[in-house]
Amino acid sequence: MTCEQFQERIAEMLEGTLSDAEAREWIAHRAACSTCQALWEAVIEMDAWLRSIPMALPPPDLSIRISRRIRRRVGWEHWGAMLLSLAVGLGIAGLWAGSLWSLRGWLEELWRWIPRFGLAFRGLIHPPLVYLILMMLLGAVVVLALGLWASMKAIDRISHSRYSG
Amino acid sequence: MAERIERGEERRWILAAREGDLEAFERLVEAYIRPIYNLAYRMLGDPEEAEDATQETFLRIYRSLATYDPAHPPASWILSIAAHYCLDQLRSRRASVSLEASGWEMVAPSEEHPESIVEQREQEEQIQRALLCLSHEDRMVLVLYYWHECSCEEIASIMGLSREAVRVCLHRARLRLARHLDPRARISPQRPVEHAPVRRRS
Repeated sequence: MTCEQFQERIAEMLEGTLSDAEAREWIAHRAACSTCQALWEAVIEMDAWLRSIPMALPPPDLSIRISRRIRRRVGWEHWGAMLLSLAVGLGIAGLWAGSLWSLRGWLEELWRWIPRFGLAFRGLIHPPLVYLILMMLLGAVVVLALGLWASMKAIDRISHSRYSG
Repeated sequence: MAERIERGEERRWILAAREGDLEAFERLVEAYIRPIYNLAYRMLGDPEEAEDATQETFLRIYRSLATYDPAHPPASWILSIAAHYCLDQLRSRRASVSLEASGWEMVAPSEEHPESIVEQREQEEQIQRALLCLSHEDRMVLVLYYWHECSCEEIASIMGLSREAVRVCLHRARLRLARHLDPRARISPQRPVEHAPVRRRS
């Protein structure tokens, strides 16, 4: 056995996976070669040292700092998502409000059309301006709520697909 | 791996954290803070850098929760994120910095009898200095093998290497460290062990 072959089998010797014949040959070389004997002793000593050294201890407050950082991040993500959804919701509501406003002419036409059938509810046919405004506001609130809900759902889906992807 | 908690429980923590349970994630932090800090400290050689690396690793773990595959062991997944972060940090260092210049200092070992602490510290100091003379891959393999008690297969999975490449790294690292620690073993016989490039697993 050469010194090179001796070195190549050191790991197997440490793990005890050398066959009896190989181990005998390996031990015979070690006995005859002072360099390989010194190397083996150094490896054995190093192996024992490495096994005896415990894991380094982190500072005691490190886990608290990490938890705080994660919670801060989650908080920012939460508020960011809320603001984004609010902006998207307002945008959608704004777009829909235009369409709602365009219905005004159709409603006026309807109110003009209904009396031809002699309906008695004249108060409804010619509602005061304040009622009109209240109805428009109610419609806008419904549209805004729908927009917010839809955008929250969309953000939820986007963030989920981002992690899954 | 040392100090392993039941894998099923760790999986539950990861899955719960994925659903937004921060307390489950904090349990994961408690369970893995020491292994991750130890890995970072042994690799980077500086307590402050190790602290930063531990924090960044947990942030990366939190951001990657949805990519965790429950079929894989949680410990390997977590250590893999930590190992890659440390290797990235080491690669980003432009030039090798001397131990003194990098502010290298000892971290006290724990759970030891007071009378053995001085001797233990000296040994650890020697080992830590010698570790920092190894290549990044060799050092990582050695740290995972000795401190985290990973098998060659687990190290291969963590580092994205082939099992054979890990065995080569481990063998090379052992000889280099032994020669570094013991001057008697420095006389190289016939042919020195080549520093072959590490082959990535395809």
